[in-house]
Parts: sequence; C-alpha cells; structure tokens
Amino acid sequence: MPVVKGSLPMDVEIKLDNQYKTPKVVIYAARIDDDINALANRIAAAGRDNLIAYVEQQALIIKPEQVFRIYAQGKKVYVRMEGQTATLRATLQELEQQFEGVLVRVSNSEIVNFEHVKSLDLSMGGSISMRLANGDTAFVSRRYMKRIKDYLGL
Amino acid sequence: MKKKIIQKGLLGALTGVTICYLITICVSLSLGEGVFYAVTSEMVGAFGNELTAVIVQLFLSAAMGFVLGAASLIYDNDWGIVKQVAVHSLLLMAAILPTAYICHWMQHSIKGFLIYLGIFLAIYVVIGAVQLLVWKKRVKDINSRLGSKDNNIH
Repeated sequence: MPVVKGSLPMDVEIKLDNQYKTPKVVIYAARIDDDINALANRIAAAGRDNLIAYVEQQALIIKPEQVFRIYAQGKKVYVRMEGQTATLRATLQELEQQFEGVLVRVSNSEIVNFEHVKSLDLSMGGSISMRLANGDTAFVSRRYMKRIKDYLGL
Repeated sequence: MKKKIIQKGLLGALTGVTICYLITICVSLSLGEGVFYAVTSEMVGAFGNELTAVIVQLFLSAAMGFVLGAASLIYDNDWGIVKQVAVHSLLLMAAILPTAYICHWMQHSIKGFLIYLGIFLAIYVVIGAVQLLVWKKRVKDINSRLGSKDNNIH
C-alpha cells in the first residue's frame, strides 16, 4: 500500500457499525483551523457532491438538495436551508459551476435551488422576485432570466 | 465602467452627427426646392450667419449623441423597469430638449416646447408599458412551468 506523507498529526480509526449503511465520517478536533477544514473538504470531495457549511465554529456536511438559496453579502457567501443559515467557503462562480443543473444563478449575488422555488413575481415597478418553499425571497435579475428559461427548458 | 461610458458616448456622438446630417437631407428633400438646408432659418437668424449655426448644431448634436450613447448603460444594471425607463428618459430629456431649443428644431413658444416634450414623454410611457407587458408574460410562462412541475411530482 502506498505511503502518502502528510503534515497533519492525527489518529485514524475505523469502526464497524452496521447501523451506518452509508458511511459517516466525523472529525474530532480541539479547534477548527485551515488544516481541519482542508481535511474535511478532501473527505467530502471523496463523497458524492457534498457541501461544507459553517455555523459558528461548527462544520456541517450538506447535500445540494438541502440548499434553498445561496447568496453573497459583504465578503461572505451564505447558504439558506430549511430553517438555518450557514456560511460557505466558495465563490458563487465555483458553486454555480460545480452544481450546474441543480443550482441556478439568478442574479449577481444569488444562486437558487429550483426544486424549492414556488413562484416568481413581477412587482409594479418592474422588478422580479422569487418565492421559495422556506419563506425566503430571492431577487431575480432580468439579465439572468434567459438562463432560468434555459434551465427550465422553455 | 468609466471606459464603457466613454466608449458608448463616443459611438453615440458619431451616430448623433450622422443622424443629424441624414435628417437635414431628408427635411431638405421634403421641402422640394432642390436646396440643402443644413440648419433651420430660425437658427441662422438667431446666430447671425449660417456657418456659425451649422457649427453650433454640429457640436450640440455630437454632445447630445454622447449623452444618449452613455445613457444606454442604464439598462445594464438591476433596477426595476420603471426606474430604469424614468431615469433614462430624464437623462435624454436633459440632453435633447436644450439642444432642440437652441438649434430651433422646435418652435420657440410654449406650444412648441410642450409638443416636443409631449411626444417625448409619450414615447417613453409606451416603451415602459411594453417592457412591463413583455416581462409579465415571461414571468407568467415560468410560473406555469413551475406549477406544472409541482403537479407532476405527485
């Protein structure tokens, strides 16, 4: 078996438990730093298309289906789920590319999961917004409407 | 952004001069005298001689064209339709009305001014209304697709 030399001191343990039909990986750490995040990213990447979201100091692995919308505010990228908000360490462009076909960019600063979109509204002033199943509203840029039509096959 | 303003502005200025030239030819043709009128006779009267009037009109039509070209950038942002059309029309009015007045393209009377202004506003109201209708239909199409998608899942 090839030996890969890493720089992060850690103990690795595998526990057999037939409760876990889908393997679950948990990293126990005294502190979450860049090394731990990188490790979690590498493991998650080995799994099918997961996202790592951060709430306070905790990291959660979430699936794209759980994403309602992703938006950029200030210098951060936030993800809205059923009842929770977390941050993501990726740019909107990276997310848009990685999850093409599942998540759709609807403006310069928002990406939306169309499975959770209820309807679009055109305001009196001519701006378009979108209502999501979790109660959120997303602003839709008219410049991105063609992208949305293409996604829906219209 | 500044670069775009200058690029669009310069293109607008050239277009303005060309269109002004074409219009003077068309108006001269419509008078059927076989004479070319580069400027209105009222303007020649106001500026003393034809050459001065022609130069002033050239400069003003170029400046007006510049503003019109640059103003088209209004539609590149994420404002609502009403705000975009309103600001765009205000910018255009600020450039066109003084030019039309000085070049005697309009009668120097309250009536002349109001007719010019009235036509201008009417055009913009129509443009705004058409835009709203077009987008209303696009939103409606997407909503029916979203509605039927939900129905098919169950």
